[in-house]
Amino acid sequence: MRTAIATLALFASSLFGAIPSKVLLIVPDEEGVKALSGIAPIFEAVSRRAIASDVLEKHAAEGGSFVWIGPPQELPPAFWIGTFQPASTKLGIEPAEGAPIDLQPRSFQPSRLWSGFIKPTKELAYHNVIEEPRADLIPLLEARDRFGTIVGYPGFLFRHYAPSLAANRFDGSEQYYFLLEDPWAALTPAKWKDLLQAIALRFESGVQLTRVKADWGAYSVGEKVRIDAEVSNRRNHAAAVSLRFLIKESGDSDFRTIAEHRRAPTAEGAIAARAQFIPRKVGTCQIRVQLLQDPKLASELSASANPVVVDKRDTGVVVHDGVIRTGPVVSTSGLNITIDRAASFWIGTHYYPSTSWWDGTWRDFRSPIVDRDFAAVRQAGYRIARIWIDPTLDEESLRAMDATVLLAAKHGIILDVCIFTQWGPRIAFEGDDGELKSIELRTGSDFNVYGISFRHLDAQKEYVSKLAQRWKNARNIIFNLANETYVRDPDESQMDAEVRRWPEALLPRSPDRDTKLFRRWAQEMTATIRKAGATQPVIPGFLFSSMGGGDGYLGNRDGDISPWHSYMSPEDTAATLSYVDTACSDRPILLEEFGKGTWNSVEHYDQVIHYALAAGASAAMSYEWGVSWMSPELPPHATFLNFSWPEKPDPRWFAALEGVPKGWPRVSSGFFPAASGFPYGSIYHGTPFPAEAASAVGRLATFGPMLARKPSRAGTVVRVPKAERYDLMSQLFPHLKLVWSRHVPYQVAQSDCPAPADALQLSAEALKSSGQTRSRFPLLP
Amino acid sequence: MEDGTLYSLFGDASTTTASIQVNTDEITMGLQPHAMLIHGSSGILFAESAGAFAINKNPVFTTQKGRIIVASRDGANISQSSKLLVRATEPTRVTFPRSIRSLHALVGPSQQPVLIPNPPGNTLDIDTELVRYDLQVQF
Repeated sequence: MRTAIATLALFASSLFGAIPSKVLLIVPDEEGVKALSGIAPIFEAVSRRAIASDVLEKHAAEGGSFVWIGPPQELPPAFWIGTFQPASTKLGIEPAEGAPIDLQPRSFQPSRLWSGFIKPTKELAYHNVIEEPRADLIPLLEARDRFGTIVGYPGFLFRHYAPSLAANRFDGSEQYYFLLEDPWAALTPAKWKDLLQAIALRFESGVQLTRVKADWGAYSVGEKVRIDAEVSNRRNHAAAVSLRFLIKESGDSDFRTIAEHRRAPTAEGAIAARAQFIPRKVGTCQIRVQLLQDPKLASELSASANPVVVDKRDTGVVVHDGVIRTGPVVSTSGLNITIDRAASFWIGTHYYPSTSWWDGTWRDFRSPIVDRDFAAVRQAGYRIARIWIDPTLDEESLRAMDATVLLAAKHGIILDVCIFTQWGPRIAFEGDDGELKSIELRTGSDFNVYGISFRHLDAQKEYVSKLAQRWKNARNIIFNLANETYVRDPDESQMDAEVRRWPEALLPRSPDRDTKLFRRWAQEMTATIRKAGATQPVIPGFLFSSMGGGDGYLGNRDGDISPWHSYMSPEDTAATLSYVDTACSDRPILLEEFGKGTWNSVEHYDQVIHYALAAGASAAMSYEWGVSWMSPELPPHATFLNFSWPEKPDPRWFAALEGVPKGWPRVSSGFFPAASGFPYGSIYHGTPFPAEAASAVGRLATFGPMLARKPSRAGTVVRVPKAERYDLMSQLFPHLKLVWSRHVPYQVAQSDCPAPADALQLSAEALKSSGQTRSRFPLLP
Repeated sequence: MEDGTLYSLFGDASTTTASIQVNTDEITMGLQPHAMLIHGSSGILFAESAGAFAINKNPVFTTQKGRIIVASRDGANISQSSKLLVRATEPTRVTFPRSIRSLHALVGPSQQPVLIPNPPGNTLDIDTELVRYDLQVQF
């Protein structure tokens, strides 16, 4: 069976010199080999059984291409291609918009099929250690269910536009997949030949659009948009090509050409071309670059040719009227978050679509994919997506984030915008004098003030103010000041002089002081937001209360919404939510993060949503949606948390952090050294399709208005004490599980809320006796 | 916001059914591994349950697999409501004790109702396509 492969290797340099090689046409059976032989000289038809997986991997790793037709049998894991069946029924198949080859509509018969998605070889794929393809999953065919909803990509191109990261393989490999149960019933042999000839034309050209990018993600009407396109030539001689730039503005029915440039990339070389235009309409503007070549005269550079399209690639920008003015309006009403004044139990997620996580997303922003993803997020029932602000506010990052705000609004999605995170020690922004200000907020040993900083308060305010001013009219935003914060006994060396004078800083060292310092910091940042004219809700930030890093309820007491994060079991998630419950202060509590570090953890996600609802959350947000595209480069940032702890660390340090970087390779880069979406994601990566976990989270969405929270009338009041010990929460929240297990309807009174004199005091002493507990609670049947 | 109290029930691997008494109603349901209901002034307005869901031993719906979420669209008790919103957690057959008059899938963010031909009777077959949609069942 392997002789066929040996033959193929001999063919590798037959047509145009060393590059391109023969393209394998992999079909399920000998019938297909016969049917598809002789379509084009560049193809070599083989049956799937005739080619060993390791040989196929080697072929692709060396830049060889293939067309796979039929069921996905034993795809080599190194291809990073996973598959799923969107339905067991036959689904309609139509060409995908923007597909790089011309496919005829209404050609395919409804079929049973598989969709492809990006599947890493390892979920926790450390950058620069695990091979990461630099490839795009480009839909060719869309599967539609009986209602016309797109539910899968049975045809797609996995196009390697550069060698893989870490292993330097697959450069130029183009892998076409048509994952159909019975390809010969889905498409007649004659039509397969038409389709394959279109693909052959692409391969024979030997040229490929490797990158198309606009400078920024968002523009205002009248601003000039610049588009750069790059082309690689895999032939061993120069070739003539043309690049045609087209745009389609909001409301336009067709693309219009804005520029066309002839180029002659040298042998195995690359060229670039640029076009510019001034958008005239507000909305999303699609940009398409077509690569054209005359197949017969490509090498005759002097000839005036009749080129045809051999490749195309889409991107886009978002155009606004100069002000980021958006709806829907997010607000709060009592215990609920409201969207356009409607209360509901809302569903949300986190959106970090690139493999270089959020630190790379804003530098390689792909607005058409974000647009597509937000449509899918909304379709799945979600109304909130959390993003994190780039630590460096420059034109590139700000405009990418503008585009995200606008695209979210387009799909009715609220953005929970997290400003400060624990992942990077530095913020940077353009000062009033136009110079970049780069501020180090934390040093390598500030592990007792983690997530926020009491240094450079003025710079922090300036950073926050820039965002608030920019987005004060974006009503689909919630400002979340800090991600995950731990505050334990900050000393004077960790504070500005101004902070040292705060009354909170003068308190004796205690959990109360830690909490009050965070609360004061949040007050300062919130005041900055309000001073800038922004009126959107503010979430101060999650505190590691269960680990002694501040009291989550009291630290967020001034927040319009109070957050909780939990990667614990569903039961513990509910119990901890109850511990920090905000009902007695008539504010919503948001389960802002929950998740599990295993992709598509459907059972966990399903259960947490139900437990969160039962515990009174106004919304629950999964961590996270998933990876949508592979980054073209390694993340640029150093891994700040990859810090070698001394033998005797400062006792104030957040002890849990010592173990976090365990196993993180020193050669990896990025704030987090892997794409977090692979282990924590809930979609089929590289596609907009929710996997079972994402569907489970969104399932209650339609019922949400019925599930909005109302004040409890439960007779049992559980009083949560003020945190006076660092381990108080971890000691006491398990007792709330006991209350749950006894089927006791209860409400929570926090330490700053009035409670009846006979309220059940949540303390180890009060609850240690199960007998006592039983006698006090009116048990349900 | 609906009038009523949300009851959430959580089981473990060994607990597959549960029953609760709310006012005069005894409600039995399947846990897989949880179930919910909202009990309001007009009765049960919302329920999520595996297996058989019954009020005072009168079946309201039964699902062969997974859980079914059911909500009243007209404010009446789900056992009498003429219009229910239904969602399944996995492909299944759902049986109601009354005949289904029409069935619509609610499609897209605007939840546009699209008629689904459904054989006459009291069963609703939810296949791998329908399981993605909220369904509107009229009796």
